[in-house]
Amino acid sequence: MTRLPSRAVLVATAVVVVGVLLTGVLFGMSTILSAVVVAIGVNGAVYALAAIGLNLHFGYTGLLNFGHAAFMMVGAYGLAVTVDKGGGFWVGVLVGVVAAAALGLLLGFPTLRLRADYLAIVTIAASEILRLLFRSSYFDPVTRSVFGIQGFANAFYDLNPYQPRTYSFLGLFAFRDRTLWLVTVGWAVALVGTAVVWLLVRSPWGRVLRSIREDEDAARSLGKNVFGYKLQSLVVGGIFGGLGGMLLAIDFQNVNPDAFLPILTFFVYVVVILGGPGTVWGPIVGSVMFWFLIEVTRGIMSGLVARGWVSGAILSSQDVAAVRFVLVGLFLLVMMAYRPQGVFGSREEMLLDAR
Amino acid sequence: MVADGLPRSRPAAAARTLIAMLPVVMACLLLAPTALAQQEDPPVLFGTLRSPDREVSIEGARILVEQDDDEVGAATVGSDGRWEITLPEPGTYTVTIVRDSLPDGIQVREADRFASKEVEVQPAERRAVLFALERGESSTVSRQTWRRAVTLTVSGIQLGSIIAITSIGLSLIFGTTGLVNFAHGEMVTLGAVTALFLNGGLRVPASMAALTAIVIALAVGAPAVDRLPRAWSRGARAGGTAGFIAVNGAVAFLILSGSVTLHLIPAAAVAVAVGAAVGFGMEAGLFGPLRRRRVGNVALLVISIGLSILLRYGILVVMGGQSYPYRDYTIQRGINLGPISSTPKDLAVTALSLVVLVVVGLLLTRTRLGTAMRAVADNRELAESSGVDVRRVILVTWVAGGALAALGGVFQGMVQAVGWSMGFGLLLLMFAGVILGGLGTAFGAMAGGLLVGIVVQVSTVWFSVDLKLVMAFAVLIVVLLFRPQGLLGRRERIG
Amino acid sequence: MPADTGHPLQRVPAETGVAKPDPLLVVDGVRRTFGGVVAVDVDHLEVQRGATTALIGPNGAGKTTFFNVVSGFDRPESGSWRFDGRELSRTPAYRIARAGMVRTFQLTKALMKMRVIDNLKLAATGQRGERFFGALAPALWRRQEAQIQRRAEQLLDRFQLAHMRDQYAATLSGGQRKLLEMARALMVDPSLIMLDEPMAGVNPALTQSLLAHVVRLRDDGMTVVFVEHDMDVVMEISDWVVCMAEGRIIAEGPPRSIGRNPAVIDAYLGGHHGEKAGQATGKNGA
Repeated sequence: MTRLPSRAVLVATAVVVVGVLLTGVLFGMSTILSAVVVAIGVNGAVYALAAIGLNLHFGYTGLLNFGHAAFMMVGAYGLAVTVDKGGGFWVGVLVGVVAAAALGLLLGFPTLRLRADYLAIVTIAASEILRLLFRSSYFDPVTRSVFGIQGFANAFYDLNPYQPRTYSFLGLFAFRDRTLWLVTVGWAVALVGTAVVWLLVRSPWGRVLRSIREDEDAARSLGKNVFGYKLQSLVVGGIFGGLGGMLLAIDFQNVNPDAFLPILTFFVYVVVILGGPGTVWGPIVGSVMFWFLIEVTRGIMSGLVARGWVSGAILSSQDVAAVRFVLVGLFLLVMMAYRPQGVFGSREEMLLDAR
Repeated sequence: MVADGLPRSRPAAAARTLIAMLPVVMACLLLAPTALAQQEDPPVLFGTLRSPDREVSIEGARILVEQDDDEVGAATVGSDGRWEITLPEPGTYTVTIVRDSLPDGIQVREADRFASKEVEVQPAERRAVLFALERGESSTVSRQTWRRAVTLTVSGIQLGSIIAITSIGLSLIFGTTGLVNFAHGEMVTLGAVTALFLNGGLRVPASMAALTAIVIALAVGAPAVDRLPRAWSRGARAGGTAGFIAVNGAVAFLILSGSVTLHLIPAAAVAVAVGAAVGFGMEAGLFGPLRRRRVGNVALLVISIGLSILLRYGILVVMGGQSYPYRDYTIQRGINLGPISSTPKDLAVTALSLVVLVVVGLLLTRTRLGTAMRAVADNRELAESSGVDVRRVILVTWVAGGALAALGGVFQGMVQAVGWSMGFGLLLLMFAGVILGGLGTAFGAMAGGLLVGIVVQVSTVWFSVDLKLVMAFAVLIVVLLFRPQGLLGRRERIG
Repeated sequence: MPADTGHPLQRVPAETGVAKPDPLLVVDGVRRTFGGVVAVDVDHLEVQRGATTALIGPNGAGKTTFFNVVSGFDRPESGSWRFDGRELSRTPAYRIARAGMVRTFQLTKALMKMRVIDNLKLAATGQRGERFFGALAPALWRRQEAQIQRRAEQLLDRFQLAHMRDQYAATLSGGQRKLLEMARALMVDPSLIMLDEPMAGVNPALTQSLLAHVVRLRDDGMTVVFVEHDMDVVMEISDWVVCMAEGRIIAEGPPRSIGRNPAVIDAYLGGHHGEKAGQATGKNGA
């Protein structure tokens, strides 16, 4: 099967390329370059990792997990609390992984036998409830509520092999050594994760997952323990979410419940859908694209205000963030309505989608 | 997303500053760029509590600080009666003294009005918050608990009836179309916000009002294009569309810029009409056509989430992150009816909500349309084969659901305040209620909503206030484990 | 042709709930109601091993619900059933399938966005690569996978789907999907196969070939139960016919006797004023 990019893809690519060039001309190349730095930097890696997990849920198994932020949060807190209470860094990583897996079991057991919608409702509710619990005074002794936990990542940065200086690439963009260390590890983990998913999805195990996504009754009628596979998928994907959360926490050197709002989950959804749900490289491609577009959009909006082309009364700096969320919502809506197979998904596959 | 505006390179000193500032950054995600500029000490709330004659120690009493219903901090009063809470950032907070944490026989003076206080804190401010305590009637603990339980039941019925009103639409839309509409919360917010603007509780700068009006007019007008009669000439159709867009834009502008100010009651009526229109628009302009294009339910659910984000943050852009009260019925004197202490406004809202529920119940059982609605929700194929116009029934369900959601929003706005994410907060409670009652049934949604409201409020007799929402969730999980079809739902196939 | 001389069902009287010489499936007191309406209420039914049994009855008779219950896709209020001597009530659907009782669906459930060959390979049982940790070590399952692949290809050949091997299942026609579902069910290696309206929605040109495939299932020693409306089909390929109406089994017997059964005629006439009954009784004189 030859895969020619469809006209929509070509048009979209052309629009983006022209838009980016125009942005560069109007607001300076630095707008573009700083967006690239974010896209291939820590943010790109964090979201890629989280998206690998969500892709396993949503893209391969068809599970509607809308509490991915909770998986990220328990991963991050597993690490932070362990170190905070005197445990070692690697023990903390292990605790984070176990916590994310446990959350998967906890959410999966009551819901995975029911209609898909129930999982959606329960996961989003659970993610909000967990966040509220973590920030409540009740859990303050463990989570330190809104003030969060700091200083748990020193062991990680102590391993930093780079010289303490700024590393410049092609003279275009630069990372400090500590950031570069985190970026290296982040992308390395994301690549390992991608390799694991690649192994999984081309195995008979992955075949069962896809059959569940297509029609779980059919899978059941062929002797597949659908509930068990869904649970496995939820747990494994949740662990990737937890790893993403840890990476996020190490980046900030702080965990705070309010870094894990439901909107975080939806960002990861956009990443998965951008890259193409149910594709091995989708999460990585999607994450880089997502952060590039998000940052360029921000650059354009602040550029507009800075040059006085748009009044600050209309577009306050607070609004810039909110407008991006609006665009995220719009994107989610339009993509799911017209191109659920992702930007690079084949048109042929979309035509099959008349379910 | 949080790292916006942060420099990517971070020398040690900057890193330390960052660590110090991060709670601030995260607590106000959206304000990140502005908040980062400040580097002062965090603001602090403090106070000293003493019993009237200083004979009873107040040690162990609990103080809670909340913002937009989210807990921000808490403190336990020390042996000297002092407490202190460091806040993450300047802003408006609600400080509450947890009443049952007070020693027996001690109570807050006029507790129903003064046990909670709204304070605005400036950057780096140390602000004292005072609570006046008095000797209560020397009642036994059990009597106090009972009294509290009654009062909380009443407030639970109030919250529950609002949840019930808003979730009827959510449940029936699910029943008739199979869609779990995550944007239902935004219908609630839109209703409350519309009434707020009409009531003059908030106005935005003319430039912002104009821009928003244009966006709204185009969004509403675009689907109208191919709805005009085919018989019209092309010019007439274009003119009609343009006129429709212009009228919409003008109305939206008048409302947003505060050029029209209405009393809350007519404002609420308009808000309900707007809610009905929003429901109509969602079905006729978005979900209906998509369903007919055979887009699956999973995709539709994700689409409704996209719509929810779009609307929620759109509202945030327009109205900002603060909450605003309506301008009418703001100042209320507390009244006592037997063991119940409340305000006339709260009682009126509760009574009205219950009346609305009864009326809706009658409409659903006594009218042809209502019966048809329940029939379609119960079994679509069967209803269709017995001659029900399913498409029309679905549209009516959306319209009615939107109107009820808006009405619930206005009620919630009267009881609390109107904020950009109020509907999303309610949505989780609605889900709990709808699943408890039985997804897809109207009366299940009512019963479940009421029950969730009561459970949430009454649980605070025994459990900490900050575990309120957790209780709603616990109810949800228990129901899913043991009776997934809900109280009034019918057993379907279970994997 | 169906009742060749010495067929074990020949001496079985045509009475409801009659005992068979060698029953593979025995159903007892199965009852399923939907909000007060009784959908299925079967006192006793035995399905003969190695025979082809047709399940007929007017629309809404409860045939599909009965299938759903017996195959574990729906839970009855009460009742039990034994498959090859093994109690299966309260057993989840996937275990029933693994036990050797596989069903197909009235509305075909082809896995649309999977290739035809993968639809088949999925259905093989006991795959080592289906375990999570096994999946990560391809060396463990590569040989087995190759065997499965060979079996799948043989079945594709047999069901004339070989040319569609690498196409998405969504590109198949309605009849091809029915064939795919049948082939897929065979990959499970069942001893009883339950076909829910295997001819429904199929281009008439394909019916004969589908029929031949169903006949061949029995020739291969499989027990077949199928739901069908077309009485010609029922007469042609079944050894035994069971008729349901309003959830109950109202008659059973060899195909020739069933058309004469007054209860059957009554059920069709009373329920649907003739359209199906015409077919049912039309065979009467033949």
